[in-house]
Amino acid sequence: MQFEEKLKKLEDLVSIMEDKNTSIDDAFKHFDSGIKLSEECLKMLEEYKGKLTLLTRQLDGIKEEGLELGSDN
Amino acid sequence: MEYLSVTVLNSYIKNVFAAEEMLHDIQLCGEVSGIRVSGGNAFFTLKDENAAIQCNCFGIRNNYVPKDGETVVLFGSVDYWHKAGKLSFNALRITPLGEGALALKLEMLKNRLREQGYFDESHKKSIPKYPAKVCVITSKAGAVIRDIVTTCRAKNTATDIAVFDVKVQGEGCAAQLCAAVDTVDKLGYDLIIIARGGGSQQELMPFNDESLVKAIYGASTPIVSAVGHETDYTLCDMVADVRAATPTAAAHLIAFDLKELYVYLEELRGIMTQSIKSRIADGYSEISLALSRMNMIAENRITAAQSMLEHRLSDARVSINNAVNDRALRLHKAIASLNALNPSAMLERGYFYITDKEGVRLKSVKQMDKGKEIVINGSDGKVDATITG
Repeated sequence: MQFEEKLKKLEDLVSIMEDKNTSIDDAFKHFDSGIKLSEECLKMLEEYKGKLTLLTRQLDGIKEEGLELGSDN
Repeated sequence: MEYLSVTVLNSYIKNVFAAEEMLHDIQLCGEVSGIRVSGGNAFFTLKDENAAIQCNCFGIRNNYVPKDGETVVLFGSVDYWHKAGKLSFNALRITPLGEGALALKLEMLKNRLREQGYFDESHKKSIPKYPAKVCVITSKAGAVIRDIVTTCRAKNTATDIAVFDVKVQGEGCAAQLCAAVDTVDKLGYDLIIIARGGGSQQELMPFNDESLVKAIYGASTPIVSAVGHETDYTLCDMVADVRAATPTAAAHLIAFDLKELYVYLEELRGIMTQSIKSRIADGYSEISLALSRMNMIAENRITAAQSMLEHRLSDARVSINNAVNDRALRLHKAIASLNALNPSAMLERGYFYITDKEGVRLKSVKQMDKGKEIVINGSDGKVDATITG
């Protein structure tokens, strides 16, 4: 699941938990899933590296190399 | 035999032409031949390899005046001049082929693609708010990529930005763009940005390429088009999931604030924890309420039972007392009666009874013959006596 989907699911769970009609049993289940999802989201965010790369097509596929951008060109 | 006048026939023909929408406000492309300008109006023939049509342009001074042999695009309507029974094309605007034909071709392509659904909003994918990996299809040498990276990094140092280097104008550019979209789409990026700085209509033409439109339409990765300046509008912009007015605007779309996102996630966790705590507290309150209700019910029951018991006991006490009193009364009466009948009491009141020596009570004087020895019994003792008479 992509970050976006996880975050959306987490937001949905929070809404359900905030609904007073949700039973306490369900609220506990959602709480467990929500905490798990939020941890996955945080882990995904930690994996955001902010790399800057240049992709070039090679005979055997795509080559990825670091890219330095000049201040002017 | 019925017949029509020429006037009626020509009027009818004129009405037919006037009513046909296909013949009005159209763009017509062809080569100019035999042009003659007279009194501010131009008259010429427009032809292609197979056909020709007579054309007029009234008010040529405000228009482009073509030369014989020049290819032009006319905007106007077909007109039937009923007085002479002649058909002609009335051109309101004359544009030389270069830009005119290009615009016409583009317009036709745009309409066709629109009809085929390539620009339908329903097909457009939503753009991720927090993309981790973005690929920008542009020239690595242009200022565009630097603008995008600088704008994005001003807010966010988290998103990976890859550049897929392509030509952004000239021959082979459209093919490179198509191949780039197909390739990058398979690389698992969260978002693709197709970017190019401003340029002439001719320079931007590769971004109006039909194959590029189809490649973008077919891609499964969300695509942002940021081609040219705000006023340039290419087919690439129209088919993309989102059009950014400029490459810098595209960078703003992806530049989310990582710190804000962390804070937001913590907020969500906080809400969940608070919500579950409150549910637990609610649970305790409900249990406590239920217990106190149970206690109250039990106490009420006990009180009711005690009260009933006391009533019963009191009733029983009353009825026992009544019974006892009744019996006591009867006993007193009996005792009184008994006392009244007690022979001793009679004796105490001064009565005596007489027995013979053997103690047999004598009840009649007939039993008392003269000389009979008797015993007189009283309350305080007895005396012997003899009957004397």
